[in-house]
Amino acid sequence: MKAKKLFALLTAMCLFAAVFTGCSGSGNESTPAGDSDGTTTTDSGDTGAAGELGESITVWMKKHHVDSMNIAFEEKLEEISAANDVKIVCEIIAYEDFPQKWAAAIESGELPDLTFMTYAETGQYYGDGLLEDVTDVVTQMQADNGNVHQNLLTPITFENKQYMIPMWTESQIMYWRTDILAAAGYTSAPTTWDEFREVAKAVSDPSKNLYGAGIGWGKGNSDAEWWTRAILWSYGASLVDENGTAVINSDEAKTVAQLLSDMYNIDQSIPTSATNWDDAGNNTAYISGQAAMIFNTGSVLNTVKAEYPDIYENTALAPFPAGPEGAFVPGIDDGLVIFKDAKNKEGAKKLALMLVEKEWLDSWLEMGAPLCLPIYEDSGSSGVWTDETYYKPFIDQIPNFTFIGYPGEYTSAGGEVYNLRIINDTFQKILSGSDTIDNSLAWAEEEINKVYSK
Amino acid sequence: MFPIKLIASKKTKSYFLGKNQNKFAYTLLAPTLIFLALLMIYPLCWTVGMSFTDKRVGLDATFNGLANYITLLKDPIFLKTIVNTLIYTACAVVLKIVLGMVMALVLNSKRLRARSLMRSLLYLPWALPTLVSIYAWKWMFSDVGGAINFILQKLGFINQQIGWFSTVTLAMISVVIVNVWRGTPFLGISILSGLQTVNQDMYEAASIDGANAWRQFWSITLPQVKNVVLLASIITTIWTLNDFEIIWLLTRGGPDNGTQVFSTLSYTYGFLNRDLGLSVAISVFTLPVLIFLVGIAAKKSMSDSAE
Amino acid sequence: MKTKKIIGYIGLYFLLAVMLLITLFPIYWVLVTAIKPNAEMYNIIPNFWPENPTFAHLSTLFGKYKFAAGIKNSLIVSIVVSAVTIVFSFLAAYALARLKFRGRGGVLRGILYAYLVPKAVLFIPLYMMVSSLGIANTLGSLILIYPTFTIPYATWMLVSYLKSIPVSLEEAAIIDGCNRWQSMLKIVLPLSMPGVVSTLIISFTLCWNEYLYAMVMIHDKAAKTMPLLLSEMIVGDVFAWGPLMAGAAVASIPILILYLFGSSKMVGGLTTGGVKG
Repeated sequence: MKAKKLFALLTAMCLFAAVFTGCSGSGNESTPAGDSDGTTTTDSGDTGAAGELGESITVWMKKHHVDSMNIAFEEKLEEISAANDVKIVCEIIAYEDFPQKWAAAIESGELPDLTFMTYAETGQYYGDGLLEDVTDVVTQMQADNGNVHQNLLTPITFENKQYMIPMWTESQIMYWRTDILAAAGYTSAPTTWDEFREVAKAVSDPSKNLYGAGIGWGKGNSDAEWWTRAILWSYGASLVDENGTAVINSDEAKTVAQLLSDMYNIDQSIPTSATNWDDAGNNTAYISGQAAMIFNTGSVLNTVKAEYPDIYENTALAPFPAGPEGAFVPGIDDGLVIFKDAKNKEGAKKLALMLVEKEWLDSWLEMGAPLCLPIYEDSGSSGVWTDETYYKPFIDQIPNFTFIGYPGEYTSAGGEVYNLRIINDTFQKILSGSDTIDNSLAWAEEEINKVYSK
Repeated sequence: MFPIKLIASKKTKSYFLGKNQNKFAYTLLAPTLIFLALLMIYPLCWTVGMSFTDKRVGLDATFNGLANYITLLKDPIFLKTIVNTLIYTACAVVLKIVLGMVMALVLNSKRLRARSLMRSLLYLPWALPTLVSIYAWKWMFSDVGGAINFILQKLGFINQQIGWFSTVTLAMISVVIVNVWRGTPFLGISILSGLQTVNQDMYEAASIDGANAWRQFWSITLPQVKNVVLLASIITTIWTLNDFEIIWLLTRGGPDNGTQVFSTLSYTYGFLNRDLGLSVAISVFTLPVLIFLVGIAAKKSMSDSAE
Repeated sequence: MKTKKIIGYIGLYFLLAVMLLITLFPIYWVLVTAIKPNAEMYNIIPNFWPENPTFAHLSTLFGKYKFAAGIKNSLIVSIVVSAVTIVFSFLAAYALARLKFRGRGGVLRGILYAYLVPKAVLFIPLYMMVSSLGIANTLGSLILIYPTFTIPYATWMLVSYLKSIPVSLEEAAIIDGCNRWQSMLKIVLPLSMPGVVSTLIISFTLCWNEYLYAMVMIHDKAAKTMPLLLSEMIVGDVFAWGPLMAGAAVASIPILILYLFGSSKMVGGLTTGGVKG
């Protein structure tokens, strides 16, 4: 009997200890303000009635590559919290972790009041009726700070209302190695896709693991979804038409497919492993010297500048090559959204306005330049953005931004097609030779139609 | 021969002292059962129930019967996924069992020196954080600074770099290799512990009688540990079937859905495209197989305690 | 006879060498990367030893990424959960292995049914439960949830270990006057130590490396466990390889210690003078 009692006691103690650890564990909202390595829960204390921002706001922001941006963002929130007598809880989250966190938040009702989203997700969550209309905020921010690039508003406007508060944009650009191209006799970057092919071929030497075209596909590759669309658009092909019917099985698309396939199989100017690159694939290829030309956002430039001076000195930037229909740049549009069921929507809206206040916003984005670009039309003509070599090429691309769904509007179905990586799958099939171009494009058309007809 | 056979075939009988066993048994089981009941019944029901609805994240669920299942069965990607999952699980599990057994036998050998150290070293793959071991392998397979291609080229086995993830076959081989590398220690350790609860006297008696190592393994070792082996195999099968991170981080199911398995497809449908009903239905598909496996394990366990 | 022995030795050590090579090569890669300076990280031709080894990554790890806090949190969760798991599971396993009672088959199956649905789906209802209890975002939520995947494994494995202990030993003890509790704790438990220890180590490891539940449940930086901190070193397409690998190396140390410590307990079993025959 004694042993039995002892056991029962031990078990109870374990359970009790477990729950108790939980209750007094770090991270509860009653943590005192000012924890330097604790949560960024800024509590202005019990000074009576809540200010106009309400009692508490929870903010979820994407983790930026440049760490100083993350720190500055949290500091800004602390500042606002202190000045406005409101508790602000901030969580900086890696982009890949967002979908699960959003799902858990939505299902459990523990929603953030203000959260980061790209335009792609905005459309999708809007499609399910989960987002709050923020047209008033967008109107106000333009009244206060000047116009935002109008094409940044298009993909987040649905039925004449905006559902995202734009905060920054990113641009994809072509990086090229001046030294490698010079060795093959080229002093400037290719301006059309045909030239791109020619230069890539001239520069490649597979036996030395050197390839001209550092372009790849892969299920884990979001980059590829973007730039493949860019080249398709530049040849006049597109995934869907204005009505949402799939039209990818077209002659123009076949031309593009043939071009890329020839580059891979005949020219051998694309690394063999590229058919399964993830997003870091082209970064690694470029930094290691395997690839002479890649397409990416400013993340590579920041890395190379910080750690690899040899490569940095030999790097130049150029816009996307053009096809017969011109040059198209895949547009990125990131900002803040508010869930319809969030607890403090009014406070969130006011907070958002403060966060897009021009002076602060521009200085914040400068820390991450040229990866993050400003959204206000006249921001690009001053300060660091006028740097011709490294920063201006990015800014110049903004007016050319094209978004998923082109030539039609961006819709949630377009976002789904992107998530399913249908384009990547298609080109993987073509390049690895597991299916013919015609079949693969037909397959893509079928799959896209399936998604759009849901 | 005779003495060995006799000892090895003695079954462990369970015994019972009257009807009091029910009460005593349930007292011992209480903490576990209460805990699992409280924490698992709701989630399991939620999950299975959700698969019969059209639930999307944030929206209400309406019952739609078998619609999700029909959609899946009509989806060629899903059918491919079934095949991939079977191949992945079967290959990985078989390899892990065989290698785990070898590992356990080697570590159990009396001739081995520095046993503790060897055991700890061989346990490392399981101990290393999953994320890091996956990325380390990714790097080793890479054609940029990748050790494997480099060594193979130096040894003259290949002329050009192999793109370890560039074709469907190679990608499947690569993810299986990583899974086996990570998972073998689990089997090795479990079987080893089983080996060590075997009465060592039996081996002595057997050697005295002239049995060689293989005979000893077959007649003494195997019967004693087959419980543990079977069980560890079933558990490892269940875990491999549900394995997510390795494939997700290495290939995300590519190329061309060649390594797409249930868990990765479920994630894509459920969280990227937020169709929870469909994504859960994929998981529920594996239920019959898992229930079957659990059934085998339970039956075996019950029959061993023959009266 | 002697040649046989020598062949035996050679065979054994050859096998051991091959296993060690395959097992340890990736580990070696991790360690080497942890001391490789960033400039050498992307060498297209792999270098197997850095030209300028550096410990800078270690200081980044503990400075910028505050890795010590992550280790502490993971230790708390893993120790508590594996302790609770062993206690619960040993009791349950004894009942399942030794006793005949009604519903035995059902209980056996029921416990393993906890693995029917993968974590990737289960986390939503679990999160809902945890947040309605008000312990979301604390280590307590993890402590509460982790046993759902350690207990089924531990219980079943212990059942099979316990079964290989001859009943005759307990019978003898009971004849000598022990009650069931005593025979369970004084006879069976010591003899099953190898199984108990290995189950404990594996349960600990399962908790130690768990990522998904921790990522969903924990919001506060101070409560983040080690795997979460590791994944912070990867931002989109930019990997901080040095600190990441250094972090992995550091994170493996507690497990190794646990293992070396537990290893001594894993020898023995029935050689400790029980009943013969």
